[in-house]
Amino acid sequence: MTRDLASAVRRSGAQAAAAVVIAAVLVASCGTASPARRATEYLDDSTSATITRVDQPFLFFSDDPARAANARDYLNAAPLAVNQAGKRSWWLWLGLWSTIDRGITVGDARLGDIQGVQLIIDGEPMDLDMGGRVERIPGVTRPPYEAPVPTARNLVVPLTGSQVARLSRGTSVVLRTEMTSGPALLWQPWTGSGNWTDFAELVAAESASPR
Amino acid sequence: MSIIQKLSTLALLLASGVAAAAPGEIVSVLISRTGGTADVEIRFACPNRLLGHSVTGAGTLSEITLMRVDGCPGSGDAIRDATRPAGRELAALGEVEYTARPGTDALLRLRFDRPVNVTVAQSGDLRGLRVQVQVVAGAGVPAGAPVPVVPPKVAPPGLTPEQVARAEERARLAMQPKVAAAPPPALYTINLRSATTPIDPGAEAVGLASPNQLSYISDLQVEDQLWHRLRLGFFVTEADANAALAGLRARYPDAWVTRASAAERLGAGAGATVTAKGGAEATALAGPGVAALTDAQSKDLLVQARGAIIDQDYPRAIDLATRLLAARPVAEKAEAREILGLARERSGQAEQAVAEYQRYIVDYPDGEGAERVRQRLAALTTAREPPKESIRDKASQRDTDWEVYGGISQFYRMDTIDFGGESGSADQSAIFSDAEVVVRHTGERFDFESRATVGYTFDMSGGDQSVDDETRIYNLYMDLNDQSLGLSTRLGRQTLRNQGVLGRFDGAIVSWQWTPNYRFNVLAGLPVYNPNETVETSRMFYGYSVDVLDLLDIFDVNVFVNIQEVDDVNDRQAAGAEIRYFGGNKSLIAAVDYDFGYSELNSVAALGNWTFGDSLTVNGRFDWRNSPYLTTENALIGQPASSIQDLLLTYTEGEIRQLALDRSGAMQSFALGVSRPISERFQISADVTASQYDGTPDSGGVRETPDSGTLIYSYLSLVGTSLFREGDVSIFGLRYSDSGASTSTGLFVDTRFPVTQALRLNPRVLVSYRDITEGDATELLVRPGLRVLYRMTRQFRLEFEGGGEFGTHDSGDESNNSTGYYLYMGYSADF
Repeated sequence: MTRDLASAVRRSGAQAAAAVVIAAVLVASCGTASPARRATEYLDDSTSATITRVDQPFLFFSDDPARAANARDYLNAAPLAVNQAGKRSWWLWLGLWSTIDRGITVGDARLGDIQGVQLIIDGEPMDLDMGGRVERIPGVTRPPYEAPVPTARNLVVPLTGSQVARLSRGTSVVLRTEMTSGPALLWQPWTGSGNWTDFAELVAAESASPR
Repeated sequence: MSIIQKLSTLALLLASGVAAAAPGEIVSVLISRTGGTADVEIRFACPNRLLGHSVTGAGTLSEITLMRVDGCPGSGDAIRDATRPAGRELAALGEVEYTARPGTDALLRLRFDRPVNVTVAQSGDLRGLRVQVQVVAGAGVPAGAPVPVVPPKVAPPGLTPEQVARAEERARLAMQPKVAAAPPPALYTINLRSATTPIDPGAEAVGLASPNQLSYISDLQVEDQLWHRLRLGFFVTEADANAALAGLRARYPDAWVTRASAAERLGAGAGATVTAKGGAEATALAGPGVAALTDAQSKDLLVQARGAIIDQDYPRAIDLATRLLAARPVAEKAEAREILGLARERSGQAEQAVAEYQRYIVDYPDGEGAERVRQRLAALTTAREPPKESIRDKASQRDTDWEVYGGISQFYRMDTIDFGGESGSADQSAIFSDAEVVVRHTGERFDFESRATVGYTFDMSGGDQSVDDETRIYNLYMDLNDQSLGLSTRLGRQTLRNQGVLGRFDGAIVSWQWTPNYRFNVLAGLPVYNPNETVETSRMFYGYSVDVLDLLDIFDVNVFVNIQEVDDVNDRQAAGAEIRYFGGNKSLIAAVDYDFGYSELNSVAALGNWTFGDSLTVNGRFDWRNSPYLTTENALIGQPASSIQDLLLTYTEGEIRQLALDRSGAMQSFALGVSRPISERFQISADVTASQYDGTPDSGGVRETPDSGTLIYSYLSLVGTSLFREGDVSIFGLRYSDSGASTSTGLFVDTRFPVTQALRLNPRVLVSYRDITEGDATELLVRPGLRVLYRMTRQFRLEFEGGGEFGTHDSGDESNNSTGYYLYMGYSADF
């Protein structure tokens, strides 16, 4: 059901806009039923930073029915909190990969570089700070997440504490990515991907982050 | 005996003075003395890095090479400052003079009445120097000085509170938060709510924004849906935004903080519509004053905005102009737009200024200020374009009118010290007048500059203490620079502290800039040890050097050879080098000077400074040198002869050179200092110095001086800003020293209290207690003072300072009291 709605979103016109809202509401209902993703902490031995992470990244997908019926593009997303000597920062890691065989069209603009990311939380867009994207997270020696395929494109952008808090209250989260070229993509949560509550609660408990 | 009992029965030997110098670089000079050793503590208004030190003029002139750092205000100008501090008789000191050339080179000159041994150390924050003065044995003691009762060892240095001037700068900024400097970028904004239907900020945003904030609408296109977001910005830190959000949470439960893009900030500030990266569109619609204004309110805001520009209160001008632009409709919008652009330009926000000016031209192409705005826009955009290559174009831009500027100052100083007992008293009463005139012209090919800096002392004290009136010539030179050939020359009385030159001289330097990174210099001249000297022909030098910039892309290097003669005898034959490294947060300067005539190393020094993050600063220094600097003329120290020629009547040249070696003892010093802010209002700093002076032998009728042993000095100070009112600076200092012969502890409180923008009061007090090993003697000194500064206009300043010194010295059966007063007042004016 969710995939059908996602396809509908890419149709032009008012129908698509309405579909986005409907999709968000329906995804919200799915998300509510999903278990919260368990969050844990560990100490980075090299930097003495406390890292808060979720056990498994959330998984989102995007269909491309013109190319494959049973294959998709996937987007792993996972939050990360870093507390280094009391200095706290929050990050969102994204890993973009695909099971679609694009053959000689490798480099398809559809999976080009991401130039903008929005989290659509309960239907409301939250654009992330692409200007703050980093290659290496300060205080983190080794990224705690990795996509299941080595060819995945990785991206890390900063969050604010209040954005994490807002995420934790969201019942549905959809991602939207703007690509360097090609259309923007909507990424729907894979069934059972869970919500963000545990992570935000753990971070909040650890850092008393503003809500 | 308890300390209190000791304090109640002490008698004074030590006398001292706190002297505010003539307006300028020297903030204060503090002098104290124990036995034959005096300590002179000098504080500067700006950081001055100690590069080197030498004693010339047969031990009567100490010249300290400094480098002005940290972008001191006025670093592009020449500076001269001089003072004859209270209590200077204790150190046989005649005058302290500071001169700085445009750029970073500076020289501190201490002129003594008789030959002395001088050692120099820097305090941790680069704003202070500690100078230890030892009157050379056999050279007599100053008239009126107290009778020595302890061995001529070291006295603890006076207190130099760390980070004084830096704190003053911070306080000054607090006092003038509106002036010039661009504020830190406010990057964060609060997304209050999002909606797919338009939000009327005029109805919803009223009362949300404080005067420094802006409520605005940011639009975001998601697929075919246009989202409108009500936002409140901008905040410097995420924490600031979170704090504001906490107060709005009840009204906007789903609000969140994010970083705003530059386009969004620009759009919001300018009231413009801009297209953000990725196709999203941010439209700033409203500011805090979004409600319509009455005509009277609009005119009043405009008048305020104009006034803010005149007052250089640019943040306020931006705020007021933004309010006018947001409140529609108002007739004053065109001027408000121009003011907004001007305020952003002068705040250093060039891009925003360009946007404002462009918007003005679009909206008001025929407006009253359109031509003016076009010119400003052209100037801004031209400034950001690469320079034109045409030499003719550059030359025509270089050609300027002749400039003449300078300054004059006159100060009256009176001080009197009564040492009690048989020690007598020392008095001074004199008027010091100084003037400087600079003439400058930049031509198509030739640049010319001439500078004359002169001083005159009118002594009013009379009696035995009187010194003759004197005229001093510090600088009298002309520069000529040929741009096309890369040749430059300076001819006349000038000062140079590198290339092996030991200070002021009458002569010439010719330089050739071979490439941007290589310069060759040839120089020759007649050293001038006292500025009141006419041309002195008994000494002369010549030399050459090479400057290399960015060697290996890391270092600046100067390599030199310098030959000096006195009365036709080799005075100094030096070769050396100086290496400078300046990284982003660290610097290192190292210098070596070798006398190949004597086959003796004259000095090796290294100075490093490292700043960690934005707070902790660590600096270290190593210094080994002959003190005084090895020259053949050092042989005159302690001798009745007044020149090498006279001395040759008694000794052979070889014997004279040996005497010079005997008088030039080695000194080594290590110092480590740290400083860091501990809160928004307080900064703490500490430094420790260990030094040692080799003894000098008994020769030529001059008695030996013993090895000093290891001398330890330590300082701890706390500098607070805005403790009593905005803009004040308070220093709480503690010093401790152990010289083996005595231990000393001092407490110091110094407050700079701004009464108004123009008037500043500076009360201070020092309490010092010393325990002297030999004779079981103790000393207590209390020294209160008050300094008043009044800046009547930008060009004219009045200064007054008065204070007293009250002390006791107890050496068992004998107790002496001392009382001293000083007064210092005058004016300085620039033209």
